Amino acid sequence: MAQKVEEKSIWEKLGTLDYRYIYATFIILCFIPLVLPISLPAKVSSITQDYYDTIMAVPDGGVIMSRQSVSLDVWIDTGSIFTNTLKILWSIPASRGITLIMVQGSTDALFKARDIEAKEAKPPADWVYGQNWVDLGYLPPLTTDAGIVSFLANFKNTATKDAYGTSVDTIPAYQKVAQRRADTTIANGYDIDLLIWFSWGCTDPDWYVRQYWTSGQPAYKIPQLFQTIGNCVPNCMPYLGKEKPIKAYVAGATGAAELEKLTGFKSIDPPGTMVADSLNLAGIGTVTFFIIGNIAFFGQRFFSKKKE
Amino acid sequence: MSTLIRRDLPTVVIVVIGFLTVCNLLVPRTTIDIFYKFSSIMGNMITIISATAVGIGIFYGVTAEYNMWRRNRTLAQTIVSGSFFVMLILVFSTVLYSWPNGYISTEYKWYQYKIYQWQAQSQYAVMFLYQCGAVYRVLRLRSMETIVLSICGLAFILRSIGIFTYIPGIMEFGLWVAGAPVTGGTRAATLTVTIAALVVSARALIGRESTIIEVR
Repeated sequence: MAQKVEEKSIWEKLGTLDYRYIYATFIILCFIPLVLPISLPAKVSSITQDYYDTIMAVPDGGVIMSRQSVSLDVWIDTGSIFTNTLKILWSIPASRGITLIMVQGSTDALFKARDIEAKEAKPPADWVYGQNWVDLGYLPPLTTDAGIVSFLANFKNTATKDAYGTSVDTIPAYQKVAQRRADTTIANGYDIDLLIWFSWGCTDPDWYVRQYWTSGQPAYKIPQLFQTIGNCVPNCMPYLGKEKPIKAYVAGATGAAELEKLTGFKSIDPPGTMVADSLNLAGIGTVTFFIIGNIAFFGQRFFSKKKE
Repeated sequence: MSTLIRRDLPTVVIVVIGFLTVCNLLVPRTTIDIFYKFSSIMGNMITIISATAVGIGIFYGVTAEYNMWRRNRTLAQTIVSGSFFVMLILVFSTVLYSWPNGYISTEYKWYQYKIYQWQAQSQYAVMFLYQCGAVYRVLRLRSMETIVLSICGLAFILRSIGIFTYIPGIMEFGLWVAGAPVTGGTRAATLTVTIAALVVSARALIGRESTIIEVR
């Protein structure tokens, strides 16, 4: 005798959609901005504004250290933050006398940062290497606590030459930093007015605050700007504020799009606004499917005929 | 090898090192300087031990992958294990070939830009698809826990979507969610693990921790 197949109610059908339809929907949503530039409206958040303002508020003659820890596996989400921050730094008039120190904190940054600096974010004519900016290269000790302690005590403990093999003692930009404060014979953590760093290791805010803000006698209290992915925002929140170590952050493609809107600088590798549009459409899809799932759940609960 | 060598001596070494390292955090350097010096030396040792552990881990991973293929010589396993070994040989060969330029060599950059970057990002894309499916299937408002989870999750998602930030209060609420409940939960989990580790250590010191004393 044939078994009677109970037909699914509309609520059950809504609640058990085939995963293939869901995946296909998201793939299409993410693909749309690639072929059809949308530029969904985005509001510049106060935190992104603070990020930009903090860079611009570095006093004349100050020192900005950029710890470039690029990671290629999240480049599509964070690359435009890196590129646009570099463009913001280059937009500071050299006449303000600000010195920029670049340090690579990852092997990916070793070549990616240089490629970006050579192509998309070339320094303008008034930013002359050796005169107002220097690249200390990839410093593996900066991935350890002991290494950072040593570096902040005296940069030459870790970097005696720049990324191109030139002794730092012969680089005017480095010497200018050394002559700034306290001990005028060495460049150390007390000479840094702003640290810009990237990480997608969500526990890193604790580490950076410990090393660059609270350590040192007296404490270095180096103000920081944080570039990261969206997931790591909660971890930096306790340290975020005007009187706190992290002054602002830019997170993920959304933050990058806000930065593009604020500054007018467009990133090509990767295209920040386009990636943000993909993310936004995917977010809309996520919310939509969440609502569909819960409509199905409540519909089944309240409107389905109870089985006898 | 006696229990003293296998269990007790390593336990004592770990406890002493841990205790002295913690003292560096609790005792001001101006009062007693030796804890700071000890902690710095241990910091250097950590780097060496970590690098050694990574090397041993890579060796173990390679042998494990090979043994897995030996036990299960199917087409799917051959493709998975084979691709692992191909990538390993490719990267190793690239770095050797381009020595001493290494990371900044044209060959290594080609591998990173043309293979690694897209492969890694594709993995995240696949993970993203699975998460989207999970949101649909799992996040149903059937209990207080899932309601709270859904509200916090949606708040954070909406804050990240440009269009929705025009809704008054969404951005501020999303930031609050990130800063308060999410951070609080993370800190609570970290604190719980830390306290548990301290309790287990203390119990091991007084000989009441069964996981160290005996194997059942």
